[in-house]
Amino acid sequence: MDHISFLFQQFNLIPYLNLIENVLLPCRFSRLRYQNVGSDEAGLKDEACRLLNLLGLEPEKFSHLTTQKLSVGQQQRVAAARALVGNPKLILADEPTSALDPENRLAFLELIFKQCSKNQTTLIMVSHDTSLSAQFDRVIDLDVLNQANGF
Amino acid sequence: MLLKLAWLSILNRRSTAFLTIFSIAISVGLLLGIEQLRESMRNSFLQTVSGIDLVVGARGDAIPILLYSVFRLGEATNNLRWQSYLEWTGDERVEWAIPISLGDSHKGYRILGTTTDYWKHYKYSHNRKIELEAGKFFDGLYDAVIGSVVAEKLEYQLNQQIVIAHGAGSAALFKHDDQPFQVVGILKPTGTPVDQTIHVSLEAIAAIHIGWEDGFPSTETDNPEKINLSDLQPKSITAFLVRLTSKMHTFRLQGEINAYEKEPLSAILPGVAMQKLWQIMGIFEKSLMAVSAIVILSSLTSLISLLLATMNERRREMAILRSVGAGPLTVFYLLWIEATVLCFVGVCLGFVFQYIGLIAVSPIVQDQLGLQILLEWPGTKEFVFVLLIMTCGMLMSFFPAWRAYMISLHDGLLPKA
Repeated sequence: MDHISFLFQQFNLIPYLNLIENVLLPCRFSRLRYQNVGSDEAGLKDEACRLLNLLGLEPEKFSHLTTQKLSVGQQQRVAAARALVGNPKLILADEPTSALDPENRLAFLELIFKQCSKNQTTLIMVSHDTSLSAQFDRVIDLDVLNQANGF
Repeated sequence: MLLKLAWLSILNRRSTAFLTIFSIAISVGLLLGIEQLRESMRNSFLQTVSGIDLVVGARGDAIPILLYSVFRLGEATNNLRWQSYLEWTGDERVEWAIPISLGDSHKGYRILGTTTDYWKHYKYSHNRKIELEAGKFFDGLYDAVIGSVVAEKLEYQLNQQIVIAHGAGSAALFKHDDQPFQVVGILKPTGTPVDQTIHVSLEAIAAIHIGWEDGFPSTETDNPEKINLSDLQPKSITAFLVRLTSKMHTFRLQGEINAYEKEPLSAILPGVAMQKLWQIMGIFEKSLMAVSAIVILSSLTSLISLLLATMNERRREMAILRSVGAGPLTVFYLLWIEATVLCFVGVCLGFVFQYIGLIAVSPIVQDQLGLQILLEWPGTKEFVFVLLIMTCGMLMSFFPAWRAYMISLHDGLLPKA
């Protein structure tokens, strides 16, 4: 996945890898993204820590925890960091906020938006939560796209 | 990278993984251990008879003669006359012939009556002679020289008094308690049945059986001082061990002894008799090996089923990997490597178990058969076995790996389950 990242609704993380390893997964399978981040392991680790910090998960406090010990919100933020690592061009998100508390949804989106605009990343998100639509540049109703659905 | 993923994945499921590894290890250890035991026992047997060309006993089958004369197992049905022994010793083709007399025991250990030629000539593995740890070889009439295992197990020192019983069991019926013996020598360990034997002179055997008719004690009580030395000339012995001046005479001499008209005798070639013994044992050994092979197959199968059983739970994990860029082939390799690593660790642990098992069994073998098991570093045979087992394991691992491949193809990039 050189240019695309996914962000799922929940259970985004590999349970037997630590946070940093989870974040760095795309770099393991895409040479381009690896290069975008840095030239060696130390560089990768630094970038992962930077992203985690930006998303409010200080590595010093959290990196020793297994993914199962994190709250859903925290897990989603790790997943967001993973989606952002290596500057992908496109992030496809499938209801990433529906598992979060209503209070935290906006905050979460803001974090992602900030990074996306910095790296010129396009974010396409699917959601049933219309209250979030104000944050986005473009909003499309699924019914409009789903021309084939006559019912 | 994949290796690291596979390793972390295994660590995550430590306890079930460990059980599988353990089961593979036990079965591999069993197979390797049996093989080494076999080899070691064969070697040990051969070492015991390495210096002997012929064994001559009363007419009978080769294997029993070998067993009772060299390994002190079983009984001779008949004895042979001293005269016959003298005649054959005199033959110019015979380098030496050592007479032995068996039939008595002490607390389960066999008494061997022989002459000082035994110490002079008998050699075992790699031309080693029997040596004294302490004391001296028998000299006086009631002197006994005991093997290292006897000394150790019964905690005997020099000058220990022992009473010899007639017959071979540890609960032998009649004791020669009117004529006790004294330990005058203790031997160094040899790793052969010599260690489990108590040696006395032929004259001593004759002395304790004076007046004994048909294996029963005499009705008169014999005063040891009254024994006339001339009565002590041995009249019969159980067998004699022969070394020839040249191996070329072996078959000829064997034929002549077998055809000896003055007494029915059988001369056997220890090596040949051994081969026959191994043929018989071979069937037993082969079935044991077959069983261990099946057990290995069974534990490999349990490894595979473990991986298959958890496959469903891992669909999410595999889809996540696909979504970050891993191809379905990567998923295949991940599972395959996991299975192979588990198999490999199991096999390595199996090696350890093999040695533990052999160490545990070694004293039992020594007690029962007087043979020493020499532990050796793994050789080509072991590596061939390991290669076969690993190949089998790796082939079997294709199955769960292929399942994972198909699942991840079907599930695509989106986590299901």
